[in-house]
Amino acid sequence: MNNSELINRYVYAVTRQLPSAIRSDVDKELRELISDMLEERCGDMTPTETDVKVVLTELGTPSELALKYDPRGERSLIGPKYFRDYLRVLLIVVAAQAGALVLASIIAVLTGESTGPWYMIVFEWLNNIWNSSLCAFAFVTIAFAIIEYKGIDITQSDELSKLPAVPEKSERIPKVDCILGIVFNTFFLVIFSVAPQIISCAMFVSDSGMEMSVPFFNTEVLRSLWVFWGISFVVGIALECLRLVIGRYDIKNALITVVCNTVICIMSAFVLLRNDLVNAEGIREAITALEAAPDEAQIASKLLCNVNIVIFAIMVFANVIDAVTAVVKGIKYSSKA
Amino acid sequence: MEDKELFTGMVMELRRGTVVLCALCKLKKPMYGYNLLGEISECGIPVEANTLYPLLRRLESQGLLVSEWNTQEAKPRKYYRTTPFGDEICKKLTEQWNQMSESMKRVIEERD
Repeated sequence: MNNSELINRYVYAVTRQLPSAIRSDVDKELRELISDMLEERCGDMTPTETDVKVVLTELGTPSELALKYDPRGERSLIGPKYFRDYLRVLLIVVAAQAGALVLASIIAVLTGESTGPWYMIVFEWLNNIWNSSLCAFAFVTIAFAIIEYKGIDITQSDELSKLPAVPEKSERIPKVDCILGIVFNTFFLVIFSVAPQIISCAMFVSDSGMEMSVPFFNTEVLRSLWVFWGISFVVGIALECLRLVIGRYDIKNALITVVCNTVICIMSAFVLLRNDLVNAEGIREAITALEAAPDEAQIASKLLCNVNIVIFAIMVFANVIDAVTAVVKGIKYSSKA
Repeated sequence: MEDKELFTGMVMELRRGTVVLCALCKLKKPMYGYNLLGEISECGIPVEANTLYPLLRRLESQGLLVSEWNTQEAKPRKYYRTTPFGDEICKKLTEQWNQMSESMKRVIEERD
């Protein structure tokens, strides 16, 4: 390789890493500089290959030089400010995901839903864990990358006048709550996606001693509603992650909690308040098959077929309490400042 | 070995700010990069090309310098010189430098 070829390659290696606006100018500048350095080193003599290599080495590697020239400076996907939080949230979410999936798979095997040779079960199991962990990783990373890019401040500010008061114990959001929330939401997200038929009501009649397990939901209807329960659980997970990072009952937490809980309730309404959600037919058939007494049968039938409404009511109640708690505590602890 | 690196690092830290002031002082008259490099080195302030050139570019983007490609000579060269704003900053920086220099002199003398 002759000298000019080496210089060409070097200059190209530097400039291709730079924003296009300054590329041609830096190209000219570098060639001028290299030429001057060679002239100083060699005088009137023609520079040898060694001379060129020495000069280019003195300038530094193309990457180092490009970094010095780059007006954007050092950049990163998730900067030092949020990296610790990112790792913490990532670990918890991915672990919760994987854990929930393992649990779901075990249950699926135990209730006989999963069939086939053991190695296929393990293979599918590993496959699921890998895929969902990857998804969780992607979501958390993208979320934090956006936070970094937009410079959003989700922790307390660093300014002296805005330093938050030292939180009392009761002011902190217990980490356990958040972790449990993540596990809970992830678990049900996984169950709903993979094996909703597991959610079944076991019925037995004491006289005949017969036992039956009937899937509670109409799986087709449930699957068609995936957008709604999907959003609901994902928002639930996101909420707990944010609360993990925020760590205390303040106005931000109150706001986020109210918004997320509202979304969850609305989405759940779309799912739970449908007439055709519950597997009413299957339940009634099972009751008939179990030959229960007509009174018992009627009560059982009515109860079971409408439990979705009861569940919805409980859910709304829990979410409202959660939201109200967050608001009340948020106001209480922020007025301390 | 480590001590030497530590010392070299500290010397670099001390020098880092001076190169900017140096450049601003010298560039009252137009000069091209390599020329400036030589002049600064002759004044006893060693600086490397891969530090100075990006620095000049940055000072230009901050409005302290202005550049022009001179295509009349055999080799096209980029000439830099200070803007009026650059001159103003240079003056203020020089005052600051003198003050700092005085203070440091006192600190060092008191030590001895």
